[in-house]
Amino acid sequence: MAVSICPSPAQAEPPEIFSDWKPDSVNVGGWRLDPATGKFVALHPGVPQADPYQYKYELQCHLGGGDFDTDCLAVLVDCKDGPDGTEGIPVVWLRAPAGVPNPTWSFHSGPTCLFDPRPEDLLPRIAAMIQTEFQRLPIAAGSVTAQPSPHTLRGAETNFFAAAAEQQFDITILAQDVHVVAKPVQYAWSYGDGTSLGPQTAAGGPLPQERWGEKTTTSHIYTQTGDFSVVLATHFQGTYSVNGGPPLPIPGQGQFSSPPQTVSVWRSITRNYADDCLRNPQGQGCPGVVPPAP
Amino acid sequence: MTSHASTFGRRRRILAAAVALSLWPVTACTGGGTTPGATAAPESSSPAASLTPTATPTPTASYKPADASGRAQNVPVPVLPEAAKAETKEGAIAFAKHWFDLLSYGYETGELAQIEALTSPSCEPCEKAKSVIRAWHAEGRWLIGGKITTPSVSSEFVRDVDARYQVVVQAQQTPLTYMRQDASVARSDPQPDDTGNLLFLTFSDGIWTVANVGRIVG
Repeated sequence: MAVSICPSPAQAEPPEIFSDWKPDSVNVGGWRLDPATGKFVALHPGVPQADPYQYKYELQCHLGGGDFDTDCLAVLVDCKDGPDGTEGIPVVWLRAPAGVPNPTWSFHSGPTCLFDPRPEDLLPRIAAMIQTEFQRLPIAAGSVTAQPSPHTLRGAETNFFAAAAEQQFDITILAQDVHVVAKPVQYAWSYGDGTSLGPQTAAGGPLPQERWGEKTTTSHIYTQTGDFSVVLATHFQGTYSVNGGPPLPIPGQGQFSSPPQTVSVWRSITRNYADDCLRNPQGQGCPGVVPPAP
Repeated sequence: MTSHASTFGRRRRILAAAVALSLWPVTACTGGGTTPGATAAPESSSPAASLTPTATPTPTASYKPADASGRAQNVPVPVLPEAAKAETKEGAIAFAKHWFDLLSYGYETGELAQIEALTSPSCEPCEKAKSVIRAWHAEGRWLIGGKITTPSVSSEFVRDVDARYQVVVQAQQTPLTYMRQDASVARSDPQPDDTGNLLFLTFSDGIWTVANVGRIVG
């Protein structure tokens, strides 16, 4: 029989490529519907991504029109623990790809409670307020570190870097619990000498001491001596969720500034001496010796 | 019409060749991945699905989706609707639906000739999808799931500077399971998120073509 002479079949290794359908390209960061023109605009890759979904909520167990699912109503979530003892309305959150007109909605999360006499337009009202509320939050812009510091040298690269963290806040808007998450996405530097950098996505980073003076994505050269106030403005992108609902994008970025940090820019002069301070205690640079006027 | 007839004739010959080949005893060894010609095995295992011309669907064979025991059988080939041949808004929408039907057919069967004929090779996401489909419909492997539906398709039907029309498509795909030749599961994915697709279509000589597709992110 043919089978007996067959070599044992070495199974081909399956390829390591797995993917469902994804309409993504390397050189386009996606397409966003510009509400002003009604046209789709290509985004550059690397642009901070907004949430590619749109959300809405519907009354839990609501089948549309005046119809409700009776089995579902039997296990309706209890919304009695609202602020000031008010009774809330149970809702489920749905989502669909953003930018698609009349999409089909799929279940996202819930049920959860909304506490408002007019739940149908609650979300737009919160959305209208969230940008102002966002900018009002006590978001810390992050810390500024200069290398070298507190003194640096005129004409040399001074490396600055920012350390800003994601921050979370619980606030109340229109009697709803709103949870805000703020993520640092861009950094702008004002170096105090009239020059600035950014906003840019690079936060910069520390250099080991032996590499101080190297140019970095956030370094700056001071051309004058003196004291300069450096201010970091960190741009935050935020999401908010209402009563435990899905995180919704806050449309604009919030901008928060760090307290000014003073950098003293000195000049360096190199002088060479034959003696050390033991042999010549009056030599320049020795303890207790007044430096000469520059 | 004549070109269609000749395609039909060629397919008949391929079918005959495949049947003849399967009668040859040596094909009992095609399990080995290194055997030359082994990649032809999946096609011959389901000739009814991949070689039946669109004009004559097999009336007796019933559709069976892919499962853990084997690949999909008798998957109906999506037929280009008459409405999808017109350079109108309705035509563009009908064509966009048809294109996703062909993509879905590709995931189910590994058959890509139809969608390739209607897609520009410069469409990067399309090429990526095709390479996944090709890789997992070769050497006895197969895919379970991956069927795509398009619950929302719309278009403003405005021609852009590159003479392309944009169609917005919400696509839903069922989760994919990647099956090895020995019927073991290489990977099983969860339900993917719906995608917002911006299709760029061109129309020439009575035929719509997908020039590119991008993701709608907001």
